Amino acid sequence: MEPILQIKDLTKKYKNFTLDHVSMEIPQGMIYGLVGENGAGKTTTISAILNMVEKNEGTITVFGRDYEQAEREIKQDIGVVIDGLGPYSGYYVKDIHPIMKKIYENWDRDLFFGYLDSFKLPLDKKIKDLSKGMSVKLNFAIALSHHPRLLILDEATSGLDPVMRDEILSLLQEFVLDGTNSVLLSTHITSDLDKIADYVMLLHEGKVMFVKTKEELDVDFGILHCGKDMFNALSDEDIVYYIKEEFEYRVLIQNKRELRASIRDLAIDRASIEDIMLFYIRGKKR
Amino acid sequence: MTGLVRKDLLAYYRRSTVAPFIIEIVIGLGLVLFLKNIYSLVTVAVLSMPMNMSGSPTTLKEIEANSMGERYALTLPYSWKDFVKGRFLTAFADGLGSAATGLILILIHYLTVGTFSLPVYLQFWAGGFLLGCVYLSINTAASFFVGATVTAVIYIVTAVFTIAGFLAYILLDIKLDTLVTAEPVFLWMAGIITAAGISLLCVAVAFTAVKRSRRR
Repeated sequence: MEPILQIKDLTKKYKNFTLDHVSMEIPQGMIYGLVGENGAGKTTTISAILNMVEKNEGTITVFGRDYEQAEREIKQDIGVVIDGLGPYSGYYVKDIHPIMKKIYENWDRDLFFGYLDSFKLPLDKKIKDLSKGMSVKLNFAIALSHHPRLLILDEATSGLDPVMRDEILSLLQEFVLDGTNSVLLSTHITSDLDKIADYVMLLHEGKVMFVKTKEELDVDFGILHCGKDMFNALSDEDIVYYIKEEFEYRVLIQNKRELRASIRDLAIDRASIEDIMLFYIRGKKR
Repeated sequence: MTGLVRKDLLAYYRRSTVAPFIIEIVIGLGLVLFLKNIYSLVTVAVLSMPMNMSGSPTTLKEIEANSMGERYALTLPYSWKDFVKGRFLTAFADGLGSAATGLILILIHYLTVGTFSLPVYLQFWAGGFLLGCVYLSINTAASFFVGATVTAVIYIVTAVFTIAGFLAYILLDIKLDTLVTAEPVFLWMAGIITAAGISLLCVAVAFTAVKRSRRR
């Protein structure tokens, strides 16, 4: 199956920052998580994917086509929710339908009003008078109501309470259920990715640190708390990164299962995406 | 591109109040109904109509600056060139409203005062319309280069420039009417070509500005 999105060696240079040869491939039916600290290059990557900025190098292919060939057609099939971006706040909620039906060829009136209904969004309220959660829901309703094949989300769930976030995450899982739609989810709320991501890419200072399936992260990685003797006994291959604390070593290990089999009674904790991210950014290589 | 124009026009109307429109009509009617001379005609055609036609880019820029409108527009299914063209079309579409209001006021002047023949009155309107198109093109192009405040300043500068021209017309006793009544075809051709040229140049300048900002 053709990937929904394919990026090869994407490079974007700014004065004080370079997004450095980023490559990714989002298969159909998958939720692809993009994590990294602030300024890691997540938003730059998304801006380049949406052709909002001019890339310096690399290729971006969406639905098998590039932007030079078919920017309008490609974007017709992309739904976008970016934190802080949305329709003009002076619009009434009811203004959105007449605007969007002119913008999107596949705009689905019934679907849109269905979302408004299920999200309990009042038609006669101005967007600026909606709560943060309601505005996010409105943005999701807009992004989903033209039957996109790819949903691009940049910090879309930040500022939402856990219940609302959970609702949105369920919506995303439902969206990819048919196996042809995909989601690119950039967030620093890594717990969201722990729940729903199929793939995770970690960006740090504009560079790709890793791309792994969620299963690989769960099965391979673990955190070992140990003393100096145990730390010295570990082989270099097992240690990904370590952080030396005052009284112990915290070690991000790979080959968790093999290590457990070879060393008995080894207490290895589960490594969440946040843990892994912290080790990659703050940890040391042996 | 109609979607982009509708989006921007609706934002503009949601942001605006009805008061400036009523003031525009009341002042215009006051001028043509009570000041029954050529100065009221020139005021409507060459001063107030072009200024009213070219006000929307400033408001649209303010809306955009407050809501990151440019970034949002670039996520929609259009190219950045569509985005630029759409903004010019929006400004022009809004300008047509003021041009229509100006035409009605000029026709009222013709019916109540009737200093000249109808073709001469229409030439006054056409002159003001061309001037309005030039102003709105300049203001729209400027809105891609600078922030909301500077865009507003540029609008004020065009207003000052127009008022200075108007004062010069009165004080120096320039015979604008003889220029129009002479009906020189070449003058109109030159006017249309100049206005179209300036407008196209403004679109090209706006393209350059957005292209540069995409690189930064």
